[in-house]
Amino acid sequence: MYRSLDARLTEEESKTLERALQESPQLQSRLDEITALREAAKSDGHEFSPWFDAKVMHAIKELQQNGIKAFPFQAYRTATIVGFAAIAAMLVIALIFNGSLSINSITGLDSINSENLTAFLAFDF
Amino acid sequence: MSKILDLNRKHVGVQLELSDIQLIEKVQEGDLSAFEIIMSRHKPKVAAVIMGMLGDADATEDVGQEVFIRFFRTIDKFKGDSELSTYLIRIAINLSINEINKRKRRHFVSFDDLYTSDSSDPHDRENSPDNRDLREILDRAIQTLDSKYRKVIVLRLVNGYSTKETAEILDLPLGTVLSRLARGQKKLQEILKPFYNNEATHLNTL
Repeated sequence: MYRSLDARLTEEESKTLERALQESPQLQSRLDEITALREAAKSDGHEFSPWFDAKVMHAIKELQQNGIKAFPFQAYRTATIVGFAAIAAMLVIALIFNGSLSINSITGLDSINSENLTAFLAFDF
Repeated sequence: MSKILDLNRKHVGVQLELSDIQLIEKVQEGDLSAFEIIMSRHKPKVAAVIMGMLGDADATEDVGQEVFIRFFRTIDKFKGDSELSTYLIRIAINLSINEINKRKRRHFVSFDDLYTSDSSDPHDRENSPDNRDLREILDRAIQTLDSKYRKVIVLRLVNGYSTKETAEILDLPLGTVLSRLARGQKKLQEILKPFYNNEATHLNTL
């Protein structure tokens, strides 16, 4: 039934559908429903605001001035800002708890050399 | 001054007669007025499709701008394998789906919201489904469909593209478009059942 509204049925399919519709008032009312729904769904069209073109052209001119290649950064701007904020927060926490911004205080290790780093990873991690 | 204006009008007049491909070549040479002509030629179709997908004029405006900006940025990639309108509508559909996904992360609209969100009192007779316009409820029902059904319904039923055009825009086999159309319509009928039941009750009482 649905296919009959969007595609051409074979002669046999059309006859079967016709028969089914005559025999079943329920099927017929379903078809009426879907026909009304399709009619109501038709768009009356929609228009952009009168300043749409001007806004797009302004954005394009800006894009040309800043260089199109600079644009991908915009897409990752949020991630970049969040990343920098997280790093800043870590530095502030290290400064508050350890009173310094040395590598040792940031990583939480007392001192770093290859010997105790191996020991740390092997036994304490 | 009037000579300059005349020349300008003549220039635009000549450009209006150019094909999409010729206008794209002009844009690639740096002629932005050619881009304005492309935009004015195709924006009605783009606006109708985005509005059908999103049902919100403000979001439609924003996504519409993004469509043309995206097209400008990637204009060199357009090889003319398909019609420019098909290409732009494909971008419009993809960006609308991005917007829908962003919205889904922010909030979720359930089927029940269709009949209750405008009225604080669900028993408010003024806002009961039988007093609502079928069109309004249908628009909102379309917004609750999964995007794979929504795009075929919007292109075929709302914007009146043929099934063949819909298949071409969405790059789907015709059979898939037909089955998604059937499923989408069944889903819409299920969502609209309360509306139809109420209409029937309303008619029986007359």
